[in-house]
Amino acid sequence: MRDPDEDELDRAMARLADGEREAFDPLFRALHPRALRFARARLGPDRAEDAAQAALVKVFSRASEFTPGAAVLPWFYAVAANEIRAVARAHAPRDGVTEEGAESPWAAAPEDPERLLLDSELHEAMERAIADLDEPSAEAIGALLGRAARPAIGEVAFRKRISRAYARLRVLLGGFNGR
Amino acid sequence: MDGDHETARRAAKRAYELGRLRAAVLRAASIAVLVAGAAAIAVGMRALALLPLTLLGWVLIEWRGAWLLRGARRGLLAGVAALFLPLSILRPCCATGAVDCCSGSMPPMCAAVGGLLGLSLALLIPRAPGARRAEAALGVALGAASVAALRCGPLLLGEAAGLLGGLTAGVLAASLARAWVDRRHA
Repeated sequence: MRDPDEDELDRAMARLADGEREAFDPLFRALHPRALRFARARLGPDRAEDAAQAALVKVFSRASEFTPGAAVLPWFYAVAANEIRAVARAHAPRDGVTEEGAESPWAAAPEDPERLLLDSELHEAMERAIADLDEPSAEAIGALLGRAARPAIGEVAFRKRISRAYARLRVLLGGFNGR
Repeated sequence: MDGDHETARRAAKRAYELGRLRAAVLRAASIAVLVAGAAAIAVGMRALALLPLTLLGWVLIEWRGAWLLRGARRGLLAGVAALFLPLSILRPCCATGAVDCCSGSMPPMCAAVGGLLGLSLALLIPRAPGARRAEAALGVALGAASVAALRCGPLLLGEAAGLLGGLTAGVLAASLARAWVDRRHA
């Protein structure tokens, strides 16, 4: 079966938010492998199933609050990252891993094909969120990433703009009405 | 692997339904407060006795969502508008000047009026795809009934049921008629 593209996923989530239960299974089939891939890359294979399930439970429990028109994948990865981090933290003392160790991101090697696929999708999700920012915020993030010239404003004003841009990005990645 | 997939699917589905229910309770509570305000102004405080029914109805409607919800929103508007109509229009079974309206008199008339109201409410049914039309019609009936129930609070249960039953039957009949007409034109 063909993997739905991002627009189809956005529409499916909007339908599910509206109460159309038929949208659940295609959406789950599309998100489950992504959650597993993400969890495996971050935590390794042992805890991946549990972490992926926790991430999916969180995503679907908030599905009815999803704003139609928002992008699903940036929000999905933001929620999944939080859940996976929580699982890593929960296991950290038992495994003797420090908090920084739990935060240190990847269990999979950089050349791992699953990780490469995941990296590319995470990158796309972030680009999509940045593209949805207002112009000054996108400009500020672009300057921070070294892709654009820094706007001709003072240091303090630039830092304020970056802080606002981060806040907007968080809202966009949240996927919900201002939350 | 399939077992893991199925376990995760079931957990996610349960989380989705619980999440919907949680959101539905909050939204239904706000609707119930608005309806209570309108009913208190139009009918008086006694109308609030059946407010839990309105709340329960809206929890169900918001939880199911989709076409049931779209229909119910229209029914709600019609119901609130009807709240402010004089009783003599909606309840011909009331004796002139009666304080305790409808008690013991002509309950079938209430059902007949309910049916007529249902037929006019059928015009409000959203244009749902064929298979979902009955759901939208039920939504309109439930939305209107969630308000009508408050107005009918002082009635005997049988009379209220007659009114609500007539309303539902009217909406469903008109909806089926519209589906039949659409099919002939398709």
